[in-house]
Amino acid sequence: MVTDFEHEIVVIGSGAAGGMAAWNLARQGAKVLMLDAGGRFSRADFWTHTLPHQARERRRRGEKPPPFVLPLEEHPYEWTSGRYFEWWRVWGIGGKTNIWGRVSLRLSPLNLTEAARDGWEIPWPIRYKELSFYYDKVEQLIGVNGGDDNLPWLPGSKYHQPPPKPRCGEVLLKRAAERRGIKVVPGRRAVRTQDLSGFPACHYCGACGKGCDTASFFNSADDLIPPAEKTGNLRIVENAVVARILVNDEGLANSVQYHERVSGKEHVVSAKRVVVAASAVDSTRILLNSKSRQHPNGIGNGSDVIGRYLCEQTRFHMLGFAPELMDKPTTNDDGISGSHIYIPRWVPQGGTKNFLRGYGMQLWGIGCQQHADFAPQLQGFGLDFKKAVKRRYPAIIALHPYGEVLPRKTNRITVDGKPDRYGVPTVRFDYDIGSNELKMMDEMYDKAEEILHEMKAEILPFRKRDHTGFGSAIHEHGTCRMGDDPHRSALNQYCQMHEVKNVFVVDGSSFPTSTEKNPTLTILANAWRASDYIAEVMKRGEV
Amino acid sequence: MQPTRRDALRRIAAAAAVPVGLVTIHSADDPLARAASAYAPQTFTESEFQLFQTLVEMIIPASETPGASAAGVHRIIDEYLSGNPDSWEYHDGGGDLARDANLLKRGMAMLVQEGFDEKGEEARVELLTEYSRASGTKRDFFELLKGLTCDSYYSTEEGLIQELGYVGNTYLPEFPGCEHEEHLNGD
Repeated sequence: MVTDFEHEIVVIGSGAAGGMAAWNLARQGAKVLMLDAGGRFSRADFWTHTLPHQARERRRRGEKPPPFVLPLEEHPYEWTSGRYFEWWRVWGIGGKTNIWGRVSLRLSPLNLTEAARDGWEIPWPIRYKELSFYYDKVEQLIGVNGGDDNLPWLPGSKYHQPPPKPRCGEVLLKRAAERRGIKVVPGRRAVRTQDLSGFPACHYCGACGKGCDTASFFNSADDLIPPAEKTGNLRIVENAVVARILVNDEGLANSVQYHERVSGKEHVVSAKRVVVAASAVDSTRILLNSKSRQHPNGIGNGSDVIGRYLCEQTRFHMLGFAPELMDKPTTNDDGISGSHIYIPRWVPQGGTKNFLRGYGMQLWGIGCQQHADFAPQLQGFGLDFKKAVKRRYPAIIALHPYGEVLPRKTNRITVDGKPDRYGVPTVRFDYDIGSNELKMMDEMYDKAEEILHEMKAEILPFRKRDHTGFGSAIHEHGTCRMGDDPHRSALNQYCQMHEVKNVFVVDGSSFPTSTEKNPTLTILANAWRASDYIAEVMKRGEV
Repeated sequence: MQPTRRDALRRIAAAAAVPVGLVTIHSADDPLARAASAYAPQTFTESEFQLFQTLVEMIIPASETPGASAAGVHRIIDEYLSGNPDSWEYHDGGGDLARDANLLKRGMAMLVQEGFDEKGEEARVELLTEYSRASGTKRDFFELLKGLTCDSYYSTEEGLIQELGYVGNTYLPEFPGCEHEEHLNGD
C-alpha cells in the first residue's frame, strides 16, 4: 500500500531523534511520512497523581496505566547466556521521551576528541563548535534548567532556566564532596521551571516517570510532533513496525517495509530518502535485516561496522543516611524527580587505577521518596526494625556514578534471534565489559564511599564491582557510528550513510562513544544538525 | 489553602492552553478499596495464607500505625505472586514469580515442621530470627519474605502515608528546597 500523501522523506521513529528530524524537516517544507511502531498515549490516561496504593486499587478494578514500556513477550529478543542485556523500548509516539530521566548534559570538546587522544577506536567527526550551535537552539526550544557552570567536562549554556533549589541531603552532600575537592553543580534537566511556548512550568509532583499530565518536561509527543503536524507537512502512520529498508538496483533506498503492529499485515511505502531514528538497537535491527544483493550484510554495512561497537555506561547505586537528617520530620522532597545536583567528571580521574575515559555522578533518590526501597537492607525485623526504617527515611543519600564503557568490536548486536511474530529476525545481544570498566568502577566505588564518609553517613553494605546490569542505564550507542573513515564507520558527520547516500541514521546508534553523560540532549542537537543538512542537500538536488 | 488537584489542573490549563483530560481521582477511602469481602488466596492455600499473614505481621508489626497485616500485605503479595494480570502489582520485571512462590511455601512448610504453629510469640520470634541468620533455603526464604513485605508495606497507605509520613505528589508553585539554616550554613 502506498499512501496518498506525496511524501519526500520517510522518518522511522518519533522519539527524540525522529521527532526532531520530522519537526525540522516539516517546518522547512519537506513532506515527511513518519512510521512509528506504536500509537499515541493520551495524557488523560496518565497516572501521574496516583499513589502506589491507589494504583493497586485501580488495577483491582481492571484499570491499567498507559503501556509505555514494550513487554518482552510482545517482541522477544535474545542475549548471550549469562550476559543478560536489559533492553527498554517504548513503542509509541514520543518514544522513550514519554518517561525519560530528563538529564540534559552537553558533551564537552574533551569528550568529542578523547578517542583521538587516547587512541581507543575513533573520535567523533564533529567538533564542539559545530554542535554547540545546536545545543543552544535545543535548550531554547525545549527548556532545560541548570546552573551557569562552565567546566572542562561540562560546558556552560546561556539558555538555562533556573534550576530547582537543592534538597537538604543535596546541600549536605555538596558540602562534603567539595571538602574532598569534588565539585558539585546544579543538575541540568529538560524540566521546565518557567512557562515556555505554552507549556506550563513543573509543579514538582515528582511523578515524571509515570508521564507528565501537564506537559512540563520535554516530550517529543508534545514539543515536536504537534507543531510538525500543524505545518501540514507531516503524516504519521501509527502502529507500523518497520522491518526493512528496501533498495533499487543501484543499492539506494527506495521503500520501507513495515507490518501493522496488531494484525501483522505487511505494507511497503515508497521512500526517496529515509531517516532512521527508531532508537539505537531497533534502528540497527532494521538496518541489519535490510539485506539485499547490493547489501548482503545489511544496508550500508559493507564495512561490517553496523551492529558492532555497542557501548553504554556502567552504573551502580551506593546508599547512606545523613546523620543530620535522621529522625527529622518528613519533607516534600519530590522536586523535579531525580537529582537537583550533579557531579561532573573531573580531573584527574584514573590515577593509579590507570583506566581510559571517565565517570560522572548522578544523585537520584535523595530525601523522602514514594517508597522505602532501602528497608530490606536494614538488619532485623519487628518493632525495632520498623522504627529503624522510619528514622532513616528522611535521611537517605544516594549516589549513582555513571562510567563510560569503551566501544569494542566484539560488543555487538546481531539479528540472529528467532523470527518475531512478523517473521522478521529479532535482536541478539553479545555484550560484556572489560578490565577498563572494572578498574574505573573500583575508583567510582572509592570516590562515592569517600563522599559518604566525609558526610559521616551510615553506609548501607555494598559489594565492589556490583553494577545495575547491562543495559540498565538505557543509553545504547555505537552500533551505526559516524566517522571520517568509511572503513571504520557507517555514517559521515551528518549521519548520512557512507555507502547509501539517501539513508540517514540520527539516533544514539550514530555516536562513536558513549561518554559518561546522558545522550538525549546530544541526540536532539545532532538530529537537528543532520536534518538541516538533509534539507540543504534536498534543496540542491543532491539527495 | 492548598489548591486541590482539579483547581491546579484548571489553572494550569487556562494559562497554557494545553489540553487537559478529565482524570478521575481515586481516593484511598473508596469503599471498593476497603471492602471487607473475603479474599480467596490465589497463590497460597488457605492455611498457608493464614500463616503468611502471621509472618508479614512479624516482619512489620502494628505500632502507633498499622502493621503489615492490617495493611493487607499478605493479600498484596499473594496477588503479586499469582501473576494474574487483572490484579498484578506493577513491578519492574525482576523476579521469577513461580520460583518465589515455591520458596515461600517451602519456607513456611519448614517452619510448620519445626512447630511454629504451636509456639508462643517469643518462641516464634526466636525461630524466625534463627532463619534470618541461617544459610541456604532458610535464609533465602527469610530474605524473600522480608523483601516482599517491606516493598509491599511501604507502598500502602498505612506504610507510605501513615507510617513514613510521605507528603509529596502534590502541587507546588515553586520548590522550596532546603530551608534549614543549620544545613545551608553548616561547616
